[in-house]
Amino acid sequence: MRKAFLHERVLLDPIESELLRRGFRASREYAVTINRQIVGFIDLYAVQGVHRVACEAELTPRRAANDVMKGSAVGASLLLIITPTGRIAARIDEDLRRAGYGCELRVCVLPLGRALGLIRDCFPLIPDAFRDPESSRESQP
Amino acid sequence: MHGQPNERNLRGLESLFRLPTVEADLEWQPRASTSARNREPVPNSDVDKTGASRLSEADRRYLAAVVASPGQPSASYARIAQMGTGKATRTRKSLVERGFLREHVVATGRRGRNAIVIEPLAAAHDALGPRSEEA
Repeated sequence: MRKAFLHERVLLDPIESELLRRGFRASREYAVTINRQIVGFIDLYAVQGVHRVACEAELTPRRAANDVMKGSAVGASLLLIITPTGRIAARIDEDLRRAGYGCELRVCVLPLGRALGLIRDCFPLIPDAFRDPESSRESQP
Repeated sequence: MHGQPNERNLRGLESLFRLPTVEADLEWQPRASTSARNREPVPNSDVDKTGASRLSEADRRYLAAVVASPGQPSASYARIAQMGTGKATRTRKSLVERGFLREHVVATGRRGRNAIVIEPLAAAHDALGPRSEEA
């Protein structure tokens, strides 16, 4: 009950409505399948054109590595791990850096307010933010 | 040790036999203990079970505000419940202690202090009655 309120209502609802406002199609508890077998669920998966954003709300750093695996498996371009406080975000970030995740998949671990800010500020610029470094080099004169 | 009574023992008991006899009250009932540990729960009415009778007008207004729009930062409820911030804080703490509300610390803004987000518990819905669920 406690987790449901904080996890679903406080953390995921504002992120979902913000993404929907920016033209994303969002689905909760998106099934992650490998070889037609469901291996897990992503809390919120949003798609807009080529942009695929996987959002995971985490109250503790315990399952962060699992989130990265799910984000990679589903082929997301951005994994947004949303936490209630900055302290938990820092812990998750530190754990992921130590484990060496986040090389191919872009992972952002942010508290709720900053995650909303990221969506508001960066999604209009998302083609630039998500552009492959190689393709951006090609486009330069 | 407790063998046959000898003369010496009986001599000591003579003073006891001389004491006046008081008849026992056969209709005596053991008195209920007044200590908190042994106290039996007092049967409550339905209103008492939900805690609604213990709520003041300010408590009720604050609860109604939280139930109507849960998950807001605590600062916003003072305005909705139309009370001062100090009174709202005291009311919130009292309701949290009594099990009507639960607090969560969430960084809802980009910077600054973390907000206290309020969650209404089942007791809050029960205390406000069916009208709260309809709203």
